[in-house]
Amino acid sequence: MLGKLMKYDLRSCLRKFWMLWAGLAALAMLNGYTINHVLDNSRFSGLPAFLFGVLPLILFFVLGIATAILILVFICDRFYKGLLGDEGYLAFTLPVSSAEHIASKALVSLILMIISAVVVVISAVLLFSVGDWSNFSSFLASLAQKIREISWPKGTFGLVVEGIVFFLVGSLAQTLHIYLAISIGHLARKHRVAYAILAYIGINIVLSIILNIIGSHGLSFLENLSFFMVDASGFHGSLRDVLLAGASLILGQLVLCAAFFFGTKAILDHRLNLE
Amino acid sequence: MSNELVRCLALTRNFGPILALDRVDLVLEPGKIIGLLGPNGSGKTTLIKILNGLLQPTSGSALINGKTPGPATKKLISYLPDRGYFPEWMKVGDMIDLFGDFYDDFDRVKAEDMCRALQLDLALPIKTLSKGTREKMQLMLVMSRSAQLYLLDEPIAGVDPAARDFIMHTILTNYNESGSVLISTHLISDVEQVLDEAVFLQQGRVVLHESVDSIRERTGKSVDDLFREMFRAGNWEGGNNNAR
Repeated sequence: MLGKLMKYDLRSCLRKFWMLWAGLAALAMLNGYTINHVLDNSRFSGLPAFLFGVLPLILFFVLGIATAILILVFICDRFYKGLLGDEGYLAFTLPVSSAEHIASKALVSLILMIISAVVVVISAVLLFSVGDWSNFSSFLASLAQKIREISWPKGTFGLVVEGIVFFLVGSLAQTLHIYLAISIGHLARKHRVAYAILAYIGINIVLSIILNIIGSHGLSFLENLSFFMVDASGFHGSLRDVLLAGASLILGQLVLCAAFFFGTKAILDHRLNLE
Repeated sequence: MSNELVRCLALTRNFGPILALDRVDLVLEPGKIIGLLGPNGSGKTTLIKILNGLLQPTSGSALINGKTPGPATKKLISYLPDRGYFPEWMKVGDMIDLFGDFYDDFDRVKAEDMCRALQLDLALPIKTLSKGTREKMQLMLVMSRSAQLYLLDEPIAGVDPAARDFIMHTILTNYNESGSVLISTHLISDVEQVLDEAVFLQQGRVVLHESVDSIRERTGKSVDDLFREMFRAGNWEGGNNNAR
């Protein structure tokens, strides 16, 4: 049933975001063209240079920020309206568990973030490449050369994988944090949105306190780790220790995911109140 | 199969100081059309929401086929809420796909036939439909299932007499006769002819649960007349008129 739920959640998300993604890519291409052709051309100065050169660049960054904001709005809106608003009368009468509802919404939000990140990277590539492929290819070649020249310590690949896993698990934890806050807000009879915001802040405060306690008592081993350092002469430190630190951060995010997930599930299972 | 499709035991639900359901004991059997009758604010919607798992009881229990509301009981129940629940982005065909995906007892052919009868194009976005058409579409989806229990919350409230006839006809010609239909309404005269049993709710309490034939024999009155007699005074004696 999770797959079926995700199918409909994905469709509701994609129909909104494909235009934004296409807009980002199109503006990146436009910017690439103007940067490489219009701005270099001495015929353009003053207002035309602003209109053709600077304005598209501003629009590109505004659209990038808008994408990030819209993802946040989407995460809140799909959970709040899709489960706790009128659409909840449909969602919660489907023969599906609340865990599957939460998982579907969270995973679709994660997919949305991943696609958006990929689109931003592609847009950046387009920004630098359109209109001047020769420059771009030489840039890529020099970048590849520099990467090859660095003597990467053994295990760097593991570090990159850890970074990606941390991004995924951390994003999931942030999404589930929002779901738990909205669910706590749902416990109130009135002003549910305001209570949800307060709950979000409250959870953050509680987490800070817990992290302080753990930091001062439980994670002293981290102080002994020789951290990954880089300076002009290259990389220093024990990669094993860095990987261990990264793994503990991922584990921490996984614990948060589980806490937020089961907290939200408990509220939806035992305190659901569609009015 | 047990002869108890629904069992409520001391089912109680309060909203702050307001008691919406007050120790309701109720057993519903399969194969019946049952009227859940009561004035506004008597607890009809609260009871139906609890049976659907959309609300949790404050105390007591509600069982469907011996199980508390959950994914297993939701397979058995076809629910028509008192409000629209369509996601705005969907088309008519998307909703049929969704019901087909999630409910094993959904009859897609029947649903599409009903769409044709309503002249509803499957490619139409739901947001372009009028409120009345959306309500009919919701009813059409609910009645295209061969469910064990149909929970219909105020299906004929706020519609013109012609639409009421359409709604009642759709219900009666499409429900699964081995299951039961629970229709909540305060418009008794429009449903009385089709009811097997009547449950009267007043201020969250079941004040009568009897077969319609028995009511007529015992009192010499129609269900509508009895309802008016019982609730006429009650409406002026502090009955809470907020819909719950």
